[in-house]
Amino acid sequence: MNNPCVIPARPEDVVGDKRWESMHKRYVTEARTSEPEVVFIGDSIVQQLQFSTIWTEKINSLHCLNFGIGGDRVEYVLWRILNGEFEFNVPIKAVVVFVGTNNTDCTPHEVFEGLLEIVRAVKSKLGGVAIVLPTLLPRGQNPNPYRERNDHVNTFLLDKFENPANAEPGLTENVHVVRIHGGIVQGDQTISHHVMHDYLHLTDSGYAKIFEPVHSKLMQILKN
Amino acid sequence: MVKMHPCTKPLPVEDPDGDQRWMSIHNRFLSETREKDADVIFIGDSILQALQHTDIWNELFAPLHCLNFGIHRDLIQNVLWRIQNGELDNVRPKAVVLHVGTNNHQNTPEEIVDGITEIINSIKEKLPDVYIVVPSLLPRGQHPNVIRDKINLVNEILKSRLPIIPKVELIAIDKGFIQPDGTISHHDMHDYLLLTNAGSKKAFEPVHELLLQLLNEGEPEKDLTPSE
Repeated sequence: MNNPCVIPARPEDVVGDKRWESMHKRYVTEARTSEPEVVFIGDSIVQQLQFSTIWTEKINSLHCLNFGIGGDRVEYVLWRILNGEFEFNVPIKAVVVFVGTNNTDCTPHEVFEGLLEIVRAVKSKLGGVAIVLPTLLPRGQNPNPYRERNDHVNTFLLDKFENPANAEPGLTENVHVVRIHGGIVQGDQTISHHVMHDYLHLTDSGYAKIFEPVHSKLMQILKN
Repeated sequence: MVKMHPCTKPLPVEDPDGDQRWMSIHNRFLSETREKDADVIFIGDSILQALQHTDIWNELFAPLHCLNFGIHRDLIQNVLWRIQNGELDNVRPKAVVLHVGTNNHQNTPEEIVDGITEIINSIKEKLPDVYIVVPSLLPRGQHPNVIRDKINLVNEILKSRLPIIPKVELIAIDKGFIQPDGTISHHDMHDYLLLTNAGSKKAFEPVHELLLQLLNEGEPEKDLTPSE
């Protein structure tokens, strides 16, 4: 029984314009030629973060690279890390990994195992670098199975990385799970389009509120 | 006899076990038509949805009282369904900006143009007097590719088909993106599909100019007699 989330893979180019490959190649070049201290890697929520006010006014001053690709699944991010996007010429101080919401056909545990595989891959490339894992966000205007799925992934993540009993040498050191999923679902169980304009992607004010804890954690890490 | 191409058959986005986001967005658009007065409605796919988050939207289009009914990934037949199911029902805009087709990569150029024509017919059924602005489809992908060729053909066919339809304005917005070496810069399209702030200015400033003209065309002549 193979878990697709732990097997590095590239998406198929169904459209024929090779956009994913172009972006990957651009990121490989950026890794080689830039001098970042922080690297963000993940899906569309990471990619669009770079156009937000919190990025331009706060996060980017920490010398960041943004390796987000819209639509990315856990296994595509895994592949990218192992195939050039993490070949840097300078020491990296922190990596932010945020992916999983697009693995809609996988179980929470499969997604969780995939994220662990990503952590292992990052560590294989960058040693003891600090790894920041923001919790997966809820989605959809009303309660639905994807919200529960993402919630379960978060439960697994918090249990693995915050419970000392689950510490695993070579895996759990210097990994910081940051809770960002609270305060999005309202009292009536809906998500407002003022926070997520399409009930998945964040508005500018959504980013400002939800990624502030990530910014704070990075400031903490970089101070040490 | 009308030949039923897939692009001319209205189709909602089904989401049987997921999070129903498409239907939520459609319903929100229906509410907006009941709550807001709009002079211009933008309806279409990923390009229009992304446009709403660029600087140019706030600077140029918001002041014109626009609604943005773009949905990422929409196909021609999804936009057709939305128009036939209420998104133009409770509004009286002066212009509709229609931009869809890039996601119909599995259709032929003729099918795509047939679909766009069908959408235009539906819009005219709902709003007989409205101006319909159709920006040409944009190229995509960093390097030359088959999709660019297809999009070029679509734009060619649109050029021959649309000018004969009254109150439809086809406007070219695709020039200036393909560089001399054949590549598209990520400074214009950050993922070689969606426009950056710079790219959206280049493509949609002409649309803004055209809208200003169309919106002012109906204005009565100003009385130039000085008051006593």
